[in-house]
Amino acid sequence: MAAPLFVNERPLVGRALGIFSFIGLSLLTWVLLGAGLVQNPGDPLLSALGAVAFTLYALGWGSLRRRDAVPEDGPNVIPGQLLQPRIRPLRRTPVVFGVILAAALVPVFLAFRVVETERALFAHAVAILAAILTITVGARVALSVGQRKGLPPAAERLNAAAVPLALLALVFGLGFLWLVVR
Amino acid sequence: MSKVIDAFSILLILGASLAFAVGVAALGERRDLAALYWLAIGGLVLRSAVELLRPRSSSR
Repeated sequence: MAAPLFVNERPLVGRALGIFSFIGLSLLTWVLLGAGLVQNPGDPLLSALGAVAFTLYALGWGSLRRRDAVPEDGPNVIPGQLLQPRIRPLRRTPVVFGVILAAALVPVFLAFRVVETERALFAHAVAILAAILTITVGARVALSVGQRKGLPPAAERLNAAAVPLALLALVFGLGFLWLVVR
Repeated sequence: MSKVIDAFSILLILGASLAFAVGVAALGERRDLAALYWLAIGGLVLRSAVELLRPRSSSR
């Protein structure tokens, strides 16, 4: 709690207190607690809140630009015309990306419901990988929604997706068959 | 047609998330085969979304 008091006048001291000391003391606490650390293994909400709190803490200590600093006035800036974006996102792009982001985080929260220790670790790894892949592809899809320039013709896109979609139909069919046979 | 493809791409992404969620839930319920199945479904759906967005043949 003392760290923010030093951040402006002595940034190194502030960051040393706020980041390194906090992480070090947290690690020491976990080591000293030992097996007593996991008091409520069946309480996923507590674990999820802890993860969210640590994420917010990490984001809170991210580097920020000074209030009066203008990046274009920096000494290393190469003068020239401003670079223009290749595409301009539409108004619905953030909405689409928000929905995709929320959907991508569902497996991450579901992983907290896994009680067995080894399975929980694997479930978290799978959920995080799935979230990263979904957000990566989802971001590209969100940016392309409504755009016409730079995208191949519709027929070509559908033809390219035909093979994975056919494989998907095959896997679904196999799963349905297995259910029926069982 | 492009609007239909855009909507289909978004549905594919949401479907992939649902498949991954079901797979992770199956892992927690010790149904490993079902978990692998649903994770594979999620991967295929994401692959379809990527191909729909930017076909490999268009970069050649």
